[in-house]
Amino acid sequence: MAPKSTRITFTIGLAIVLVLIFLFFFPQAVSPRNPYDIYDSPFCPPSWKNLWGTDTLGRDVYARCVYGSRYSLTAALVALALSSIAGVPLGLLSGYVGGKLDGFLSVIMDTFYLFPLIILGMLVSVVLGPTLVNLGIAAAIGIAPSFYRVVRSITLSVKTRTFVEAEKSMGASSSYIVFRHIMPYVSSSTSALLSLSVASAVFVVATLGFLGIGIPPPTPEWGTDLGEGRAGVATGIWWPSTFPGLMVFFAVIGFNLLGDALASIFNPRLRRL
Amino acid sequence: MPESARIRMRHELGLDQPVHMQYLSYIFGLFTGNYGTSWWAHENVWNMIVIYFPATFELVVAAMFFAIVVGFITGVLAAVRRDTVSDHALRGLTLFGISLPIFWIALMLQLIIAVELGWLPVAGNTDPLFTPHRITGFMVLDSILGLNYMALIDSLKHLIMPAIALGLYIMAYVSRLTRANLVEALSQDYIVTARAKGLPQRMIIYKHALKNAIIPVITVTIYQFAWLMGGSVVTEVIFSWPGIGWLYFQAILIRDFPIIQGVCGFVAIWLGVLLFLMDLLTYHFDPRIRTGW
Amino acid sequence: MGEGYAPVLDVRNLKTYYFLRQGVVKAVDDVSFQVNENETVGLAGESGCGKSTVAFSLLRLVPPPGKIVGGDIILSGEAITRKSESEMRRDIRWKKIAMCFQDSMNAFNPVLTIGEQIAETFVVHENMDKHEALQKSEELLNIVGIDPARVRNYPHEFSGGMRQRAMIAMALALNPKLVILDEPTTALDVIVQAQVLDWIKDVQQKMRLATILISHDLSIIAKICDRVAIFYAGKVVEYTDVKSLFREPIHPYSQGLMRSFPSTRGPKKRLESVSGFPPDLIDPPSGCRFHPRCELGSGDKCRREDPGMVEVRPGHYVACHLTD
Repeated sequence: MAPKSTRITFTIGLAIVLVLIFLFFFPQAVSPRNPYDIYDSPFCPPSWKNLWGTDTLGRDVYARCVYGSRYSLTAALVALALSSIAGVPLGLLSGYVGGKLDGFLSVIMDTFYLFPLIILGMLVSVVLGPTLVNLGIAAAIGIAPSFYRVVRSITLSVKTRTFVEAEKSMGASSSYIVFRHIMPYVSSSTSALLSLSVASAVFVVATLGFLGIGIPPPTPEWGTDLGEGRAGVATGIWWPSTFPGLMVFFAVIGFNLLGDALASIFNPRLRRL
Repeated sequence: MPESARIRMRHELGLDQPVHMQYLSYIFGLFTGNYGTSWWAHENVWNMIVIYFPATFELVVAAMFFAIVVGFITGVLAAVRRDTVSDHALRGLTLFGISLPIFWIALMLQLIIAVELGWLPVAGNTDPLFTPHRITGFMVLDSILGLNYMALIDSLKHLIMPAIALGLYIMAYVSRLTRANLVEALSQDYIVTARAKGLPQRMIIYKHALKNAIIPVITVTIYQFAWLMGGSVVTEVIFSWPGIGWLYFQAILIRDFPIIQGVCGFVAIWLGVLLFLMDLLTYHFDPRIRTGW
Repeated sequence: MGEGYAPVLDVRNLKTYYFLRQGVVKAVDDVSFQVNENETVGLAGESGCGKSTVAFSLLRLVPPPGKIVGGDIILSGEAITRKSESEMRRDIRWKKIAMCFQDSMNAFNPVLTIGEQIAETFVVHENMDKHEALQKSEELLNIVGIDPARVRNYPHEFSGGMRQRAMIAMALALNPKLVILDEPTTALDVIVQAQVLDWIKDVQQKMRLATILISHDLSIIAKICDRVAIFYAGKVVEYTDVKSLFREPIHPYSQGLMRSFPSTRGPKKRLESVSGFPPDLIDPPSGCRFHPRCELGSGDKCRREDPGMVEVRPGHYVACHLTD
């Protein structure tokens, strides 16, 4: 049984993630107002009437934050999907085949891993255009290498185990070995990575939105809203920026906690972190 | 745009050359400092990079310094006082540190400390009144070199918030990593030997445990340095810090590809330098690698 | 054999328990033995029977949640059990008692040179400056037959046997009265094992050291020990000189151990082992802890009452009801 601290982080992380998923599917349940309509004059401070205040056009900040979960999470999911589609097979291939292919792929993956995600993301967004899918692509480029690495190292370690060599000498096909022996490990090890990747993806999407090259307005996205609200900060209008930022923080910490707990559960050696 | 102008522009940009030639001349240009000319500023891109670079470098070094020093110290403390109140508190704080989005923390700092409290300047890296004479382009260094006390204070005041905003994530990361590695090192057999030898606790921690724990921390820190370059874009935009990140952002907005390419290439070169540095440091600290073990 | 002087080490009724969430592990439960000058005493038994815990107790290095809960440890007249942590660190550890651990590769710090690790004992305990300490380390290596220039090498650059000798050299640095060797040859191959063991015996006799050798391998004990204490489930079941033990093992467990060793002489026999498994030390069997596995059949008394050590022959102690 996992130690107490792990159980706590798992519970809190899962709780936050579930809340976010709920917001994703049923934002109407949490916010009666919609994020596009104008409900009051611009820049009204938070009050009982406007829970988290109004933004530059008079829209409800609270509503925009709640509905904003859809866009951030969708982009993050796209990023996840692309990262695993690209990273997992390549990792398997690299680990299994080895040799020059492995060396070549590793170098490429390392480059993308190291290259600052934000700079790369900005480039991709500009070149491909600011749509949800493209933002997902931008995030995926930076996240895929992590999937690649994990899968590759699992493949390597399973491949060299004696029973696999025994099976190979008995004529087992490669795909049999891959599916029967390697895949089970892959799914358990990548669960943590999946959660942590969502955190990264949400962060990247929000950052690009903040810089103004994310999903174009009037779509409610946390980063974009925060960026737009920035103008008011100097004059003390803090709410259009602070609350979206809190949402990003909330999402990131939730997925981080869940990911940490999963990592600790599936790989006890990491428990000390 | 008239056909003749288009043809001329294509020629200037080298677009009428075969693709592989274009790519080769690009790479060649990267290494010889020829990044072309900015469409917007009509300036040589390399010159622009050189002008804006010192501000970024100063910011990144300050952030890194903050991150490593504070992160390391808190990590060691947490490890040595494992499972006590201070350990749990530090772990909670570092969790916040790695989850707080950089643009948010930068904005909050700006809001609370500069706007509300007025303790530190809101933006920029210098106040025109106190700008030191430009020798290197590093505000702090120039102030020191010019023996300009007021400029020094001023530039430090401007540096604090951006450096903290940029370095916070890394600080939290370094802290957690140091803690984990030190705890791991302290549970090794050679620590039992050290205790049996009657060595004082301080010696055990610093001489025996830390020297082992620090190896992975160094590797990771170098990787994080690369992350810092990305983070500096956001920080520079928020604090109107005149560095490469800010330049890149402006270029992205107006689609000025020479600058975009130039900055990307420049970053790539820096990454190469960092990787080399990382190999060097690992070699120094881990004797097992030296003898090919 | 003991020479009639007061023993260097006198362990009396030592009890060391580990307080775990699941219960209290009675790792060392009322253990007594002695070690004289110029004598090697072996502590023998299966893994997990408490031998290493005894060693750690002597140095007062039992890791939490373990604690010495009773008994006395007397080293040349000094009561170790009553000393403070700083007294232990300053006066006892390494200066009076030194220990060599299983697996020399992990016992040494991989990022420091061997010379450095030997030298620090001098620096810390005898206030030597580094230069002098390194010189003494070179001398030490020379004495154990290792090229002194190798002070500058790292642990992974030594072969297993050499590393073991380096570790023993390190243990002898401050001329301790008592040296504990915990499974010194387990990580080595058989030929090197024999060499190292011979060498250990040689050193022990030359320096007239009081030595404790911990091992699960009775052949090693036979080779270099003078006296031996057989451990079972945290208690000593037989305690005598080595010759007597091998000539006439009295306790059923010792007899079982003897039978499970193949002999290259005499008629061919089947290898036997002691049936069953070592007991759970949180909830050991009632009465005599060996009774569930005992071949002599456990009588009523065996199940009820824990046998004490009885001197069945001169100098030969056994803890068993069936020999009374």
